[in-house]
Amino acid sequence: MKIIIVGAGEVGFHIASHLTRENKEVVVIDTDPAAIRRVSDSIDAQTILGSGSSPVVLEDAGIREAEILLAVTNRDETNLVACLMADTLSPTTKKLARIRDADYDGYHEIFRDNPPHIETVINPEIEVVKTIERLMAVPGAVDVGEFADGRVKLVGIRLGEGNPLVGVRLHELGGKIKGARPLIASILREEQLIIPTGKDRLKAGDLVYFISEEGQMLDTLKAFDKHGEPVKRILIIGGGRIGTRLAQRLEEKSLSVKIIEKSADRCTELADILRKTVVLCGDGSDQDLLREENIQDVDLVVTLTNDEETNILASLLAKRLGARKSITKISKFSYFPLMLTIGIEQVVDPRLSAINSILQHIRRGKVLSAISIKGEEAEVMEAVAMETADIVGKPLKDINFPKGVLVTAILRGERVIIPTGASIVEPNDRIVIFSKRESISKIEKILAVKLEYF
Amino acid sequence: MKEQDEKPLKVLVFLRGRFIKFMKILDVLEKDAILLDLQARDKKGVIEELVTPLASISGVPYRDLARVLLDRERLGSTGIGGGIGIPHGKLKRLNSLMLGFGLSRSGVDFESIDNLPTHIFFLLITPENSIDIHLKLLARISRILKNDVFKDRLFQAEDPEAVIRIIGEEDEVS
Repeated sequence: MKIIIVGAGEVGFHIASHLTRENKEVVVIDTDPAAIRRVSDSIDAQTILGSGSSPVVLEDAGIREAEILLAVTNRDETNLVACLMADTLSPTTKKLARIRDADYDGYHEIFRDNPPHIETVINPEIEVVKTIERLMAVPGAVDVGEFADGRVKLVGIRLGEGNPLVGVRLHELGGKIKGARPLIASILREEQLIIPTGKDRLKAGDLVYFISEEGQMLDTLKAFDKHGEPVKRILIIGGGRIGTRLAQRLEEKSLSVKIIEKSADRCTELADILRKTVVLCGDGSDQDLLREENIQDVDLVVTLTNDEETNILASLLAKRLGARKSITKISKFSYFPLMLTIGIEQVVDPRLSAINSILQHIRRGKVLSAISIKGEEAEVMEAVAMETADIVGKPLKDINFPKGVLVTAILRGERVIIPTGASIVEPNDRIVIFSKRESISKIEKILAVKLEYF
Repeated sequence: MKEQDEKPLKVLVFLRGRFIKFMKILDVLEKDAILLDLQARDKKGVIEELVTPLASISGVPYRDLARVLLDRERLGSTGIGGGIGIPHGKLKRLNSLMLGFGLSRSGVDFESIDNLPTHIFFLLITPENSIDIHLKLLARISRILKNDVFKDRLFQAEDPEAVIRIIGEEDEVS
């Protein structure tokens, strides 16, 4: 499969590296020689220095053979023109574009049904706001993914020192937890992904990923000593586009929201756009300001400035001054391993959110969503089990699954089934599959339909 | 394929404005839809090449035809191995089914199950309702392609007339 990526910024770079690891043919186009050099130095992708909105450059990149075009530069206009050019030169190439300006929000469908025929508009800012809302809804979670319209959740939680379940073997969990035993899909331990068996013990510091039905989630979280307290008072630091979108969403939920923004001009704009949110002009890492605003009574601080160091510092400061929880926006992958050490738990990354919404379109089979878990060592996807595919019609234990693969839920109509080896997937069931990265192409084969499928 | 598929297709089919009792491959394969020297080397390119004559025969935009076939390929490749590809799909607002044929001398990367290049293509696009009869046509095509002598003869064909003659002889026997 050939994929052309226009824009070698953070999103383009990381999608390119994700895809080349799966042996896809990737071409990356960018006007910035430094960005292109970064790609050619570290990724096995073809690179072209030039504008992705130029028909000549697109022809050079082989747009006619490309199955997918991803337009992910940081300029909406460039992305739109690249898609339009691609649509003219090669109408059957699937086009996905990153478009951030809120003015386009209401036009995504129009762009799909009319030229430039953009199959999916990806807005990392909308995605990241959704991620923040999901994290707010699941107490203690470090990572939350949703499937089946939220009825099934993938939750990642960190086991702290002194957690009552530390040292417990997984097969003993049933005795320690009321109700159904949670299905633990994987454990991230010291940056290593483990697919645990019943004999494995939980350790302090583990990032445990489990799959849960929505109704049982809170019970499972309690068992892991994570208790939910409603979030009512929220402080947002950084009044950029993400901060504004988040404030608007929270206003709809009638929560008490304050937003701190440095630029006086932007504050005036914010006061115009936002209705109930209190807009404060100042520095989010200023202790006095935070104290004045009664930071100790704040349930959640979300730091969303464009400077990640400021975000990290502001989150740490706010927590030290008594804020109950913090969510920090970070875009540098290299910072992630550090975060736990310095005491920052909940992190959001617009780029990772964008990558997740792109992945789904690249997967074979009828994949409805795909979520790359922290560290990108594994993926969880929701797919339709199609008639004639290998996965339907026989007990799961008789299917030759590759290593590191787990069918974690079967969704049949309104029912959610947590499967055993004897479970049989029926045609048109939706299934949630956990898979290590190296097994994904084999999963795609198990989901593939046979010749007879029309 | 199942035993019942071995028999000729004794089903009443509405085809090109008339009802016919037996459907043979040649009933639906037009000379213009036979391409003997496909240039493309990849899946997307070869599908676009194959649908081009069908688009002008049917009047359906080529983009729609190619899209249907490529979407079907995404669910699972129709490269069945042995150098054969049978891309197919269903389309709304289509009056009758369409069949295309193509040969690639150099071979196409069709993501086939045996990972070998694909040389012989039968392309099938059918109206959305009436899947059953088309499944039978599909079965019939894939069955006659199991015959290696027939495959070799097809691959050697010099012109569309020869393709029609060779398919006709094979179709007659069964």
